[in-house]
Amino acid sequence: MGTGQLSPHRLSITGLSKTHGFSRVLHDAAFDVAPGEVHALVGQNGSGKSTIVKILTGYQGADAGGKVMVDGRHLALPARAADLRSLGVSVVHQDLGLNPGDSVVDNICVGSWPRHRVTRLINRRRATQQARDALERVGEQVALDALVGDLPIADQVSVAIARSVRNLPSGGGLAIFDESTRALPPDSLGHFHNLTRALTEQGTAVLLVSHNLDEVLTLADRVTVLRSGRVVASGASTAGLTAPDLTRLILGHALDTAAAHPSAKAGGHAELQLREVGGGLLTDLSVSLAAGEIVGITGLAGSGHEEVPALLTGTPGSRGELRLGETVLDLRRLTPRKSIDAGIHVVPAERARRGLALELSIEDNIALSRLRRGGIRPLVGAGQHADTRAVIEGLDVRPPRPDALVRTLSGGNQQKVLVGRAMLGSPRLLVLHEPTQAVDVGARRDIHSAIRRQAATGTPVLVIASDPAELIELCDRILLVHGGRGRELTAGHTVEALLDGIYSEATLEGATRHGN
Amino acid sequence: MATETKQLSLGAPAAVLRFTERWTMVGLWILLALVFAVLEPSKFATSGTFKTIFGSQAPLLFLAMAVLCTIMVGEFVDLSIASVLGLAATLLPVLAVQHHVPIAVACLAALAAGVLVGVVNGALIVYLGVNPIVVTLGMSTLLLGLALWSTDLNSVSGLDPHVSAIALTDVFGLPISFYYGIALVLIVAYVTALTPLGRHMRFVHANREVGRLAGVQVNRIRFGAFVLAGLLSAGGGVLLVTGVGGFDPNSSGTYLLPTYAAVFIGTAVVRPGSFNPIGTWIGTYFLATGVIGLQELGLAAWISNVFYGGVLIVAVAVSTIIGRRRRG
Repeated sequence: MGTGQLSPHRLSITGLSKTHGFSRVLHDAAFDVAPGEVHALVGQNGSGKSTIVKILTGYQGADAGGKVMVDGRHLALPARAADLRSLGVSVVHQDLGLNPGDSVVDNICVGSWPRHRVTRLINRRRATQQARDALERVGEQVALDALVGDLPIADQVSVAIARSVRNLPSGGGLAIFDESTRALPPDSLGHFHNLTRALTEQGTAVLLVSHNLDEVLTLADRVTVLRSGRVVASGASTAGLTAPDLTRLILGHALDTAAAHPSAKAGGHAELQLREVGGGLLTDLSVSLAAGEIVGITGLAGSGHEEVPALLTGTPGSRGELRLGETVLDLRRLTPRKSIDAGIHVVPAERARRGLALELSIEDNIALSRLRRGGIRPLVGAGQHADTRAVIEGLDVRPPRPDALVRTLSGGNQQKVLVGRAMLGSPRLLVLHEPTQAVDVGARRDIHSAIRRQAATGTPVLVIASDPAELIELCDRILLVHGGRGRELTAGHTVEALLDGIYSEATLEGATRHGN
Repeated sequence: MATETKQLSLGAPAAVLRFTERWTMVGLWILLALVFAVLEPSKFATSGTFKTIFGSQAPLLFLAMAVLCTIMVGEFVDLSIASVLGLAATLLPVLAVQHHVPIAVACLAALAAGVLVGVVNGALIVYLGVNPIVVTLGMSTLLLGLALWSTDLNSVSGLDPHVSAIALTDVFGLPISFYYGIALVLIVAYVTALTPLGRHMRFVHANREVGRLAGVQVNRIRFGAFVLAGLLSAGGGVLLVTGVGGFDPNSSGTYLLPTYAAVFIGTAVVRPGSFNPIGTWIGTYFLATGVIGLQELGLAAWISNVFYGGVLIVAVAVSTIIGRRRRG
């Protein structure tokens, strides 16, 4: 690759694909990053953006045929740490990736310590010097001996960035920020952004992987959008791009196709009432649902709507009241068992962590719904066989084998088992958190129609989700939660109105509030 | 599905292979016995050896069931069980012989001590979240010290010979403690395989958070497992000391390793890849057959350490491989 010096690109990716088993998670991706620019890489979960990061950082290889060039020099895949260092590629990991129990110097130098020439022991003096130099390059002063955990968040940001620039050539190199700011408090985001800009002004390029679209729009010069493993926008300029525009690019929904009609159920007798529910980021949410009504709850990440499912299964520190027909529950004293006894069936968002035991069979997982009391009288097999059949047939689970381990199912089929289980035993309230998270289109359709069937029997349904198209498609009414408070979407039942609702409130309340 | 097609392609029906996978261990056990019988027919192939193998393992089996209780709810190490056995086996004769406490009361006190240890273990591990290895290892050493203190560093003996009826009453040619073991295994098998409580235990093992959200009282089940482990270990101690008539507290540590070996061998039987009581029963008597057979070949006592240790490593390695293959 002798023509390297002529390349105008810091990073150039062409024809990059990745196949896991039989599923192709990345198709022929291509984009390039110029020196001195902030280039954002965005897309939904499963869109392939973390696959690209994993390939660039050497965690994974790629399919044959993909080409990655850094400053015109070829990067052999799978990437090795030494090659990445010599080409000048570094990464700031998710949530900064610092070890709070170690000093600033240790955190900056970990992975490549300067050693004494003869003894091969760590050369502390040079390590300290290198750490100081690195911090100087990002223009910050931090006490080098302090433990990182004792530093204010802003200084921790500086340390993380200093670590990533330490091995970059001065005024060059590529820093990959992989969801680095996900857990940062909003007031330290500004500092992060300033450091990033200072870095790019020296000529270093930054590849910014982020879910926070406002961050992308304020910080990035260009953006590459991935959807279902394909690049749908390669290096589009962010000038003139708005957050709703970007959301549409990411989701790929045409505007009016999904517009649905709110049913006439609204306004009936209130079957479910939530009053002044709060806890965690949520401060105040009140809503009432008629029998058979499907109501969506949404908002920006961090606005508080994601707390609702946990609050309704009993979480310490929650408050408010839930009325379900004649039953009144005080959320402060709610436990998972009381919640289930009251007929509240919840589908949690994190399927593998909270929803299903992956190492057990479909039937075992479904049987759990019947086993509220841990008695020692023998189980009756017939009931759980019937339950399992009902779920498998009702949602078209494949393979239709009760003894298949849940781990062996595809994501969509796992989700069907989870949603199907929640519908067993005549729930009085169904709460679904991201009911079609990371599932394919077919499974999504099956799950949606199962939810509608359940609602048609008179069960009120709460759907907590972040995909506007899903909410518009599925729900009779939608609540927007912002800054911990809920209010009804009144502007009309379209994806556009919903996006405007979510983002216009955000601008009203100030840009600093919607940090991830 | 994938494993099934793989098996079919080997040319044998899947059912046959599944059967082999489940019962290979039993075949090995019989083979082992046959080898000893051929090598040393005058000693091994006798009813005396048969009685020794099947009559002496009840304390070990109780310990193994104790370990199984905690393993089945996802608590992999309870290192204190052997010391609980030792404490119970020491406390009973100390109370009965040295303090002239009625034998029934002494038995109950020994069992209560086991329960108490289980309660302390469970409270520290489940409710305070202390590392279980540290808690049970510390508890193990602490209890050994207490047992030695209660006997002034000596072994204790002198239990009324009539007391041995608790463990040694002859039923169809075998001591009654053998049948206690069978009964215990059947109860544990029933609870774990056929009852809602058993399913709850399986979920506590497989994914605690899923269980909790489904209304399973995860912490209560984990705590209960430690208490039950204490009770069963102490029960093993009572059977041991009443059968033998006395006990040396220093020897309690030797029961730990065979227990784990038996439990891990058990994962190769009945339900390959998972811990189960019937497999543990087979594992226990497999080990006894091996050690007693080797001793009758004339090898000294050191052979039991070599055999137990070696078998534990092989058993764990095999169960890891089975587990990985099942994982696909």
